[in-house]
Amino acid sequence: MRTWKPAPGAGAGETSVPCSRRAFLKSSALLSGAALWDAMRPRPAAAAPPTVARVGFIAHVGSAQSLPRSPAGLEVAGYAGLLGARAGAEEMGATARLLGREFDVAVATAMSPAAAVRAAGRLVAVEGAFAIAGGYGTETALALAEFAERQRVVFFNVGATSDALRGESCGRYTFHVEASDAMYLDALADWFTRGLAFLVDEDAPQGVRIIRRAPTRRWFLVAAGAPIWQARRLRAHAALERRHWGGRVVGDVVMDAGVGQVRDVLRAIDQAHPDLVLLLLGPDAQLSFMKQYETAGLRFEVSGFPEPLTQTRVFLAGLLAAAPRSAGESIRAVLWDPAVRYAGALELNSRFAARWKHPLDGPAWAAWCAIKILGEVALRAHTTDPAQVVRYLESDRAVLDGHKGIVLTFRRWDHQLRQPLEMVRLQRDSGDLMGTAEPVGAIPNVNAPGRDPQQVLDQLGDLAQESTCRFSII
Amino acid sequence: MSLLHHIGGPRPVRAGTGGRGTGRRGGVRSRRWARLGAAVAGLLTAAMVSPTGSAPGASGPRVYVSNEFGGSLTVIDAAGGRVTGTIPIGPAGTARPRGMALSPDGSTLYIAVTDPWPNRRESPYKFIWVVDAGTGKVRAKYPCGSDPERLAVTPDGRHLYCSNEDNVTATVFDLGTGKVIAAIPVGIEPEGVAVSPDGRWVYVTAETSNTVTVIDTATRRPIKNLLVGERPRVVVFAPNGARAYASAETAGTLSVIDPVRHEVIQTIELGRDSKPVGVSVAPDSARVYVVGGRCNCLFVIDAPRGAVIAAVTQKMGRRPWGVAVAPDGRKIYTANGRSDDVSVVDAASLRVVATIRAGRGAHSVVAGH
Repeated sequence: MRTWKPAPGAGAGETSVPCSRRAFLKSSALLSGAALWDAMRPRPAAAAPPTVARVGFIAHVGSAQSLPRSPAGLEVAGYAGLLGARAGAEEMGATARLLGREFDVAVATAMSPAAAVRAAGRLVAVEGAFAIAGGYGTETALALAEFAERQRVVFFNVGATSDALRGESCGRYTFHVEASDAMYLDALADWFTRGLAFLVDEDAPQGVRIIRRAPTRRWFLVAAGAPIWQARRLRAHAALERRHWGGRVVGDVVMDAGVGQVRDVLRAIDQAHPDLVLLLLGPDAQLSFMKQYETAGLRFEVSGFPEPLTQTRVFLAGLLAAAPRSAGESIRAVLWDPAVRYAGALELNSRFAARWKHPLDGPAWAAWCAIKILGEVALRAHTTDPAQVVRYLESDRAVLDGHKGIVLTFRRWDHQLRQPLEMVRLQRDSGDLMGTAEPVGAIPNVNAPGRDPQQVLDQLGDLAQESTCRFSII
Repeated sequence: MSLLHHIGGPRPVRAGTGGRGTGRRGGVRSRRWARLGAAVAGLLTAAMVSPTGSAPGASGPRVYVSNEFGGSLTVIDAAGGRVTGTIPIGPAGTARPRGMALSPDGSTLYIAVTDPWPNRRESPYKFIWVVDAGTGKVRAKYPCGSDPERLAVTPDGRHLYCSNEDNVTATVFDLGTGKVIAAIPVGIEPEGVAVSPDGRWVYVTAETSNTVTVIDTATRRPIKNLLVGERPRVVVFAPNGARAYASAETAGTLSVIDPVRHEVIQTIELGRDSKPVGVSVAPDSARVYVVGGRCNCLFVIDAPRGAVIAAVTQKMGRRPWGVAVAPDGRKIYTANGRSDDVSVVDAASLRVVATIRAGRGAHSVVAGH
């Protein structure tokens, strides 16, 4: 474990951003070496002084703490999250010092649910952390949520989208910065069924660039057989049938790995002539499917469920490499995009890229935001008592800023962070990692005047009456 | 440990020469861009000073609007309510003029200009541009640290403080010697800058830290940091020096600060759908005006009571971000970034009495004598 304290001059971007994959991996390796040294360094096993507000971050990275070369490894998201947590630690540490306080983040690594729980125990008992952030993958997030309930310590989920975590498995001490399955599926349904989408672009002939011209009516769902993917398949149906008039499912197949079965699925897609094929598949399966889809020569538009790993530039580059024609120009939903420029996003993205030589992608933003929120709580609520932190975050006083152009708050009924999501369009032949996607709009539109921000953001995800969460009393 | 870093800065750079910039790094490509930009800026400046340039033509009080996406300033004849000139700064979408301040005698307009690339240190635009308010000509470009966003001039006219958005500093520029004399650590992503009427204090907001840093101008050291609402933007002092006000865009609040104790003494709720940015105080300090970029409105606050007494919405432009009060207090001007215009509000009736066309992305507005 290592305690992350801000570096002098944190926040001062002084270098240009290398964008090639080679430079990206090289800088990652350098950071990895430093991280490994930190991990091996002997540390005093004393609890933090009470004046230091400390958060524990559980990174899903191996002992080398490096960026894996496989675009489908969960460590890709874990590594981005680690950098996001470090950025949050630097910024909130600097802010705390301005106010005569202390805040830092203790980092541990874990690659399994059991290891994550052990790490959480050490972070709380030894490092004195009042809150834990992490949770890459549903099982790990669930294990940490259960730990949080048992130990009565705050847990911020930054890496799992599962609706069950917000529903029947919800916990009073658990808060979700990562968006839920329901939010991502609602965003996809909203974007594709709405049809016309454009960007204001002064250089375009008419001052705008048309991104889409026609609504997506005919949806073809390809879902994995595991229960979580079937739950997502049902929620996709709900998104289309209950909320988004005009979109209908014309094909709905369950697909597992067999090559022969993929051929059958491709044939079914070809016969259905959908407007969109939505892949409710894991990262590996999305890459594999897209490769075969490309080979088959089908031309229907494809999007995929945006698990955190699939939002990274590394994965998107892998997707474009596997299926340049089919993935190029395709639209995907993400929690955050490193090329977003509005509402302070340009400054945040630039600052992060310059400091960490890594794009601020969805997983990095989630970790950064989680640390920022927990730091804000410690500074504003003047408490690190977990029960008081929970009450504060549930109250109207918890006004949160994530550079998303609108005030962010937690839903009281399931502790999900209300927030807009970004839609990005993949770009082949971009030549660098940053260029593999461009943001093409936020869902919902946060700039429309005259509505309460909570109402605006509650267009995504499940409302109180739909929630199966029943919190314990603290 | 000293919190103050003294820097001996370069001499002021004449407009059009491009200068050496403040960059510490930068490859061949960025230097090439800088040279190209400097050439463009030079051509534009030449156009400005030529007889055919669109220099302001009125002799009465003027209102200046910075057009962030248009790369220009719009000059308005306050009495006639008409545009009298446009001062080009650079190419639209590249040169981004934002915060402005007038010298105490009203003869010089200072504009904080940046470009769309925060990490690019060498730029022909990232300076404080100096415009002669009488002729509308660009006189010089002053270095003021990296990425200047907003600025304020001390009442004695000797120093200029600017916020460096991509850094955690506010830079102090000596207008007499033409040198940068200090870079003062502030919060992360600094923006708003204000000098107290007695010149003793400078307040600097920081959008990410959610703080206001209090700087003692005598020592040029920060003496205190205040936690204010989320994403603080603009900070201003009342002309009587009794209060300072800081808007918070995300929180939808206005923090009222006691500048004697440097403490937040009240938080005025403007609504979470308001997105307040610009703040200006009436000359008699009795009213505070705040513009809401999302509600498209002008809040009118009774200063003694600390209460919102009106919100002007009818005929208001879209996304008002900048606001200024005329020196006589009778008119309020808002810079509307989405409708590219200026709303003129009558302070007595609190109605929009005129709408004046500005350039793309109207950002800030100042009213001269």
